[in-house]
Amino acid sequence: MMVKYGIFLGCFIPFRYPCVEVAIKKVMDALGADYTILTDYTCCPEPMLTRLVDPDFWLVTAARNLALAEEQGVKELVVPCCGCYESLYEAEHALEDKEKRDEVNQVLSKFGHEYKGTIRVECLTGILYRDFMSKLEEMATKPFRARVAIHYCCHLFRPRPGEDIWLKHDRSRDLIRSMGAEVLRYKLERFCCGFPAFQVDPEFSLKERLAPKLASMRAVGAECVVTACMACITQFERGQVMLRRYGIRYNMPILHPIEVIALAIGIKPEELGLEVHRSPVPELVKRIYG
Amino acid sequence: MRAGEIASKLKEALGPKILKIEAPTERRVFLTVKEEDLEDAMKAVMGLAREARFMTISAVDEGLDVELLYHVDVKGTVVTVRIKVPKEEMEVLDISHIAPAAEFIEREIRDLFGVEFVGLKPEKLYTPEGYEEKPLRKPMEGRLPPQARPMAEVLMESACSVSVSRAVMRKREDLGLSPMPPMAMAKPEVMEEIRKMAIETGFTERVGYDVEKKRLRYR
Repeated sequence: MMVKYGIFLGCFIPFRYPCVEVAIKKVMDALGADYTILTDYTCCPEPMLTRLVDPDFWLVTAARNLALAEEQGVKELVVPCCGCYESLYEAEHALEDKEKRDEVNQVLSKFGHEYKGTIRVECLTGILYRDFMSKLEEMATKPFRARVAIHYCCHLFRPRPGEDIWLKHDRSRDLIRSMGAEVLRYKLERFCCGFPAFQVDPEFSLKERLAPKLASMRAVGAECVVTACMACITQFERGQVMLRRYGIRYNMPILHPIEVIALAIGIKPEELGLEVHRSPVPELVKRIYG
Repeated sequence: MRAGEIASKLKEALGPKILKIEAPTERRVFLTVKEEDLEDAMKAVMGLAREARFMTISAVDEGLDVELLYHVDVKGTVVTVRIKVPKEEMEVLDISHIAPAAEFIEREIRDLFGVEFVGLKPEKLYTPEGYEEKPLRKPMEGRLPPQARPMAEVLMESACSVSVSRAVMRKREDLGLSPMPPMAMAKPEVMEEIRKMAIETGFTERVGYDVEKKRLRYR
């Protein structure tokens, strides 16, 4: 039996931010979406280290995840984390080449899998915008009244051929705006949060990437940051704590778009486990919703 | 003797002991075997023709292993037997009973790289007595930068890029989620599949992951 959406949770969501997993399920249930959570999957694998170190292993592992989606009767693989999206989309794109796919399938076949090339990978906000925008607008009875700075994660700048490079981010912004948020311009939208650089040079990553970004957000009066990338959320939350050692203090709440949507459609904050965040998200939510 | 003919004869003589055999030109053959099959491979190569002549051994420090390449001229075609010696062990059989001329170069490799040839006479060739440095030996390093090593181990252990704690599993339960998400790590048989896949693709070898010890071979 076919299921329309197969959700790929990745690693960070279940093990670092289960609050995002809760929000995904509650929103998809509230929408009445035909979805399933992909099972038996592995790390996407994460697109920075694995792909650089060993592109062959990266592609075979990503192809296995795509093959699982086919086996589990999924039409579209929906990815709530931008990092996972990049990895799986790039793999989907690479495996459009039949010769490459045959090569990868030679390995997969030894483990009982075959990727036929039928899966389309989409980011969660893209699906919500494309298939549920008007329904969500109707359901947004508890507007998320906050001044929001969106961090446009680098991984999502992966357009399909002929697609505008900003399309996914524009849709994400429109979605957040339709939930009642005031989306601010802050000039450093396209600036990386510094997560990849943190692996090599934490001080550079924090002082030269994260701090300027937070400064520009604060300068325009942002009350919180919204981003769909779990690595970026980690960088913003962990980074704000680590910046204190350099005498730089921010206390900016960081949320995933699905949490903003969940709150706006009336899911109670106490059901979302927002205290998992290491930034003052519960305080912000209390200010908005009392 | 042409490379194709040599390759056929070696396949016949060594069968499954051959890890890889290539004949990129008419006059060149590369034969890769395990370290423990070196003696059989050298006997097979030296037995290809009465005129077979041992040439030399090249040593290449690859970081985690030292590759030894034994070159033999077989009637105008150079046959190279390739083995890898893990740096954790650094012992390999002395082949001077098969090719007496090997003794000279084995002593040189021992002096410069620290590879021990079991059965080789103890006298040094180049470096003075009491000098224990191995001038051409590189540090024990694989291809992963230090920052990436913990993550690679976690990836191999759990097929997941983050470590899993009991605290987060409890938190998941508190939130009404199953303590373990439906990932590969939830099922031992699926994890076994992932490990085998990492071996099959060559990932474990390329990054220097010891599957039995479940850790990288370098810190």
